[in-house]
Amino acid sequence: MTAERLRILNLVAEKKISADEAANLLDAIGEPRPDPSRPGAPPRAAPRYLRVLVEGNEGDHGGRVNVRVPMSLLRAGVRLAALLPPGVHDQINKALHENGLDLDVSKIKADNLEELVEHLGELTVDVENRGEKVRVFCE
Amino acid sequence: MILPPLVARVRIRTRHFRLWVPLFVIWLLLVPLLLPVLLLALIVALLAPARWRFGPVARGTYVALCETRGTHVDVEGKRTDVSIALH
Repeated sequence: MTAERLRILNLVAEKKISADEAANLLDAIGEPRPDPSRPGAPPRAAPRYLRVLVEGNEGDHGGRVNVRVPMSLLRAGVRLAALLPPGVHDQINKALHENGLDLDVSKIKADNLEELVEHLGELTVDVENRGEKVRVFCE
Repeated sequence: MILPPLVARVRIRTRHFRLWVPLFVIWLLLVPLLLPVLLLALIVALLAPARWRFGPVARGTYVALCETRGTHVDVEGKRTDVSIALH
C-alpha cells in the first residue's frame, strides 16, 4: 500500500472525505483496488455503475429498458439503511420476508459498506425466459 | 461540496421532444419551503420513540439525493423511446 493510498484511507476513516471522493482520488492516483479473491491477478477498477438491462420479445425495436444507477447512490442508500433506529429494523425485516427476501438490515453496518459494494461489483445476473432477457451487472 | 443534480435531460424520440429541466432552479425554490419542514421533522425526530438521529439521517438523505447524478433511464417501446438522465 502506497503512502498516498494510506493517506486517502485515513481521510475516509477521519470522515474528512466521503467514500466516493476517496474512490475518485484513488482513481486519480491510478491505484485501483486489488481483488482479494484473485491473488496475483491485476487489480480491477472499482465499478462505477449498476446496470439493469431488460429486453422484451417484441423484436429489435421494442420493449427495451436500460437503467444505469451510480454505485455511489447505492453506497448512500446503504449508509442511510445503517442509520435506521433498531426498532425499525424488525418492521423492515418482516416486510422484506413477506416479499420473499430474507435479509436482516440490522446487519448492514457502515463499517463493512465498502466491502458490500465491492462484492456487488462482481455481481452478474442473467435471466432469460421466452425471448425476454434481464441482465444485471456492474461496470 | 457535493451538489444535487442540476439538470435533468428528458428526451422523447417519437415526438422529437427534448427538454433540459433546470433542476437547480427547483432546488433554489424548494429551500425556503423545506426549512420549516426540516424544523418540523427535527421536532418529530426528537419526540419519536424510535429516536431517529436527525442530523445523520438528514445529511444521508441529502447525500443520496446528490448521488442520483449520473442516473440514466432509457425505455424503448415500439413507437416511443423515452430517455431521462440526471446531470
